[in-house]
Amino acid sequence: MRADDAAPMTVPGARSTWCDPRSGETEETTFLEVDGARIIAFLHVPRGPVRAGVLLCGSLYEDLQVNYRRELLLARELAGRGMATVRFHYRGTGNSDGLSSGPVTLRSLVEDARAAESWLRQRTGVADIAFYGAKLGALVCAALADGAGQAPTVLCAPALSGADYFRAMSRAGRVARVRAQRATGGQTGDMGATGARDSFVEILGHKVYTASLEDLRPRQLELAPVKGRHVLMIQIAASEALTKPYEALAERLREGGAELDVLRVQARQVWFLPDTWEPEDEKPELRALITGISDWLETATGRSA
Amino acid sequence: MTATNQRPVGSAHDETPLYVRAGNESVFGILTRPVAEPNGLGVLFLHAGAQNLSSHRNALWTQLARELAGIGYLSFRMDYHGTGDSSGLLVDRNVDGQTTLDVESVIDWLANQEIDRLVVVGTCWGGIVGLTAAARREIVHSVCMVTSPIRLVELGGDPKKGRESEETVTGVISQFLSPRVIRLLLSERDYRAWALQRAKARLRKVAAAARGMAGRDHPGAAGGGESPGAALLGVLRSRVVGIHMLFGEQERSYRELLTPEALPLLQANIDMFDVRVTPVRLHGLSTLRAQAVAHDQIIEWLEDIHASVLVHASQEATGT
Repeated sequence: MRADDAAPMTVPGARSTWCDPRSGETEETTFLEVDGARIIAFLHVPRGPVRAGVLLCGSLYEDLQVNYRRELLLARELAGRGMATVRFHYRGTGNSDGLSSGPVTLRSLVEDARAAESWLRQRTGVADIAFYGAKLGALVCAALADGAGQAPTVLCAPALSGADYFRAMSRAGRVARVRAQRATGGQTGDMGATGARDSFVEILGHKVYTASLEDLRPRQLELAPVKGRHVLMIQIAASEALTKPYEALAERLREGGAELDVLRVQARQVWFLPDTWEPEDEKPELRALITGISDWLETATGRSA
Repeated sequence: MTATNQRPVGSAHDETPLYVRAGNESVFGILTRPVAEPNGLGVLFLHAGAQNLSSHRNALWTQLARELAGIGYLSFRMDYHGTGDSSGLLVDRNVDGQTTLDVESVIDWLANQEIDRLVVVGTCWGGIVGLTAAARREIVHSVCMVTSPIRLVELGGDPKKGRESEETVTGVISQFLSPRVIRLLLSERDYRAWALQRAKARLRKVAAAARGMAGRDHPGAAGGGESPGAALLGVLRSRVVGIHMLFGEQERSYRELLTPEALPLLQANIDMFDVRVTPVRLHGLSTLRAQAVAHDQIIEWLEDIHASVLVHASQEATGT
């Protein structure tokens, strides 16, 4: 079933809106029903006519917190340019309910994203939707984009596979242990502990269930070949040169007929961990990232319309 | 709503996302309604500041709010301006200005939600913000602080104050030459770039601290008139606000509390504080163990507060 065929799912009485007097844009928050549970979702509505819709598929675990404000600011910028934008928390994360069926899987992540997509279509009536996926969220984004023809697609610092993502998360965990050791003069608690009974592994202070690892690790980031699909691939790294894995991904996407653009953003913080007590809004790379994505989406959604 | 250990637990079905007006900003938060007989108590959850959101790390606040709904608590977990889903830019990172307005606006709103008393729970900087709000709003009955930099009460609200003297050239160099760091420097290209930038920034801080050390005063020891910290503690003492603190025993925020010469004002008022200590490193709640310790301690505090309010109500009813 396509998301736009689904029945209305917003929860009566659990909705709140706020209109920014400075921009005239509205932010609407609600809970959506997915398989008996509720996920929180945020819709950023432009002041004037809605020219397109954008669905932001965030990442999980530590990324949820670290990338959170960035994605909110991106959504506000897109709404300012006439693109209604939806963000949401997957089941089992943030302010959403847990999954009754157990740990997160790619299927549950995609179901949640489809619910958010459906809400975006219902609330705004937009026909054209662009998809954005960050890190692990890129796998979710790709699954949705593959059912949406030439829909513009943004892959922001995408994980090339589930295995690649968890490997990077483990590396960041090693850095975190070094930093924690510095702060306490050697005592680090039990980071990296494994819970044999509940079958999970602790990475960066998050419980990563074995079932989630087994489901997500083999998943590869692939976009089905669609001639003329516009794709923006973003690398956020300390150096400007494109990494070899991203070069290979770019090659595959081009071979599949995608019209690919690449945005390289140099950033000081390339790890999952905040390294200073610094609001996202003040990071130098943020403007480059948000402007780059917004400019590209403005053009790409104009083309597809 | 589901039942765990005979106690009901709330879910998103019992919650409403809300925006509360705070001056020119809109403060986002989630209201969780009680799923048991309401006990007349509210909880306001405050996170640690920049790069955090209403659910807190690993959804700790979400979990606690839903569990506390099962003993009749109404709760609200909020984002300060410029954080999470609230409006604006986080301009006030002390305990004044817009930050104070955010918290006080939410407390005023909560005061109209059929609660008699409010408990403020905060981690790190959030605990200090909560303590300040407690002195200004009479509905606040208790403050629960997890790994909060309590020196800020004495030194003023700036989270960076009092940190300068920590940095020494040898300290910075020795940290960058530890075997684990060297291993990462050799194996991780991104780590090399990150570490180089950190080293430069920290050496700049050392130089700045060395230049500024000669002129530093201790705000709490300033002569003439009551310091802001003394005034704050005076109000909290007169209102008998419960102040509960949890620290990791290795952490600086706890070690300095044990040093009388470092924080004389806090030492003079130490009888006001219920201090709990754990061997687990709590700062940033960056491990599951830290999150579990914080969770269990907060539940214990709030169960005790609930019980004491029940006893008080029963004594009032019987005239004892």
